Amino acid sequence: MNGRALLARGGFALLLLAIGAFALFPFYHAVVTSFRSGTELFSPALWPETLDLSNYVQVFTQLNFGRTILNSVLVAAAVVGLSLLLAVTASYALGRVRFRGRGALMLTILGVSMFPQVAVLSGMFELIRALGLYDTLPGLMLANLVLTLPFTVWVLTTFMRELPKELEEAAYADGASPLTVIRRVFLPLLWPAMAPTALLAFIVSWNEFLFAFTFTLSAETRTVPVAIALLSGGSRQELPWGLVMAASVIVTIPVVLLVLAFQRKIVSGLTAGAVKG
Amino acid sequence: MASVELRNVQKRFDRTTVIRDVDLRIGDGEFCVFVGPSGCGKSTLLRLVAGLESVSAGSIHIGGEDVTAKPPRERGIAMVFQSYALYPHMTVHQNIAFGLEMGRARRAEIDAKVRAVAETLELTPLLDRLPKQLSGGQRQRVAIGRAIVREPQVFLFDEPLSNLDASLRVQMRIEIARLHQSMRTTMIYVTHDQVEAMTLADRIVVLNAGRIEQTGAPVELYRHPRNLFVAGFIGSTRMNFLPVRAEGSAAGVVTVGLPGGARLDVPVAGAGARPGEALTLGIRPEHVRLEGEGAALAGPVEVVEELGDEQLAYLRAPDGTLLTARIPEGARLREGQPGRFHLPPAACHLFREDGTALPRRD
Repeated sequence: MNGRALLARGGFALLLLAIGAFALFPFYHAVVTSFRSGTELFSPALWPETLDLSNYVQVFTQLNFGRTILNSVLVAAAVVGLSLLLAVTASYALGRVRFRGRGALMLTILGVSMFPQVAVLSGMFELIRALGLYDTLPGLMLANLVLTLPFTVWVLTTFMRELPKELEEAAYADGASPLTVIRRVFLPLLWPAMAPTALLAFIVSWNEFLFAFTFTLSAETRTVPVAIALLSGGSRQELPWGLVMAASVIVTIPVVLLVLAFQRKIVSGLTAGAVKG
Repeated sequence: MASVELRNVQKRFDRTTVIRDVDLRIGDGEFCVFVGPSGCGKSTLLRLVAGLESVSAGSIHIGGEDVTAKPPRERGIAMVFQSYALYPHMTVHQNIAFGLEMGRARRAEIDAKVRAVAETLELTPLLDRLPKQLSGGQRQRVAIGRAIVREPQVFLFDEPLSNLDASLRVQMRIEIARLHQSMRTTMIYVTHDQVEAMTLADRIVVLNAGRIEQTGAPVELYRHPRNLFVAGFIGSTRMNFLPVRAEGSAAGVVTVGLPGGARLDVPVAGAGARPGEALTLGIRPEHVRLEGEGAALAGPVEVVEELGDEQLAYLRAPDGTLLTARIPEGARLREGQPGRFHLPPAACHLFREDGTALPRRD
């Protein structure tokens, strides 16, 4: 390797390092801060001097954080489940059945996802109140579906179109009904697409703030992002940074674990061998 | 076991008509082959029988029952696809069992049936494999196994052999023929390969542009093609066509003038042709002789193809038509040298200008 190539490689490595640092530093800072309390919070040191777990203890003892996490899990799980159920059946219709206005429908679904959340907020509020779902978890689930359905439907429809048509026809010729075809043939083959979309839907719902903030009132229905935002310290002037950071670290862990778990599930090339080749 | 009947079946996709007024009756236990060039509608016709497409007009009857409005699962059919269409996430065993699980059969019964079918198709050692771990021929056998395990009334094959290599294709062709002999079930088989059609069929249906051109036993289509299309389509090397003119017509004989001046008395059945009428003379390459009776065409031999046991010789006739002859090996024809092709009158076909054939004798 000559000097020039060495220099180029070194430069590239430096660039990667810079990007990595930029992406990871805020999270690192959160972790470090979560171990601090009092005036220590404002220390500019990059390394934690002590491992003070009092913030974590306080999050669970004082804030009923367990209930909040449970709320978030319930909402996110329901949103993921409903999104996938609706998206798989919708993608079958949109990807496989020929009907008038299919293209327009697809564009509408995409269009819905382009509106900023604030734009639909007041309308959604009226809707949720009319349905009597204000300050309830189902209300929040319904609202979050608006955010997750467009992209789950789109991703699965695209994937569904790629599946060989003969597979479906073979199943019909074998005596299957449309629902059986979806369940026994498409669902297993859609796994590689469903795992990442489910994950994205989970993350969207888990981190959703605006709807949760608007459509819930009581502490019993609060989800994690709202609870963190509403954390307050001993006085008005004091923002409990240590608590906020500890709570943030706690709620990030499930997402990281989920990503790691799903990563192994995302198997590509499952369709190999279905048809010729 | 059941007969299949198509009555005035039509199929349109948007504004294009793919199947026009097809009327066809396939007898119980018959092996019927749909053959035709690509785009002739043969696959669509099969899919109409299967119920994968719905007819635009007309009706379909299986075993005497009108199934036009019924979904595939209520038609008693099983289908083998060109691409095999095996379920990639299921083992061979699960693939074959899938159709049975759709019914109300018990697990032990299903397993016994799957194993019996696997035995006959020599798939037993492969039962736990996934499709991607199988060769093309093995996949095809699984696809066939999946069809026969359901004991359907009618088997539908959609170009099942066209993805296999040549030697495997011959082998599978024989297996399918044997299958039909042992099961005696009605089979409908779509192919564009007329050798498959000739060897497998009890009856061939020649399709062109959504219409049935002719139906009949393989030998009948070979000897008595009803028109130019069928004559050109059936036969492993394409029939030669020469423009000729009727010069006279007596009882059972039409005299035609060949390019280059020679005359030929072609035997026909029934009415002859008007003198002066423009006709097309057809003769199969395997019937062309290098010497012997009948009028001859002379011209330069352009190409000689060596096939081992025989040769294909191409001769430029005086009017510019390129004629093909299948001749025994060792014939002394040289490329670029003049040659003579003799046309035995009894082997000749005559077609009118609209393409219909003058009926032949024998």
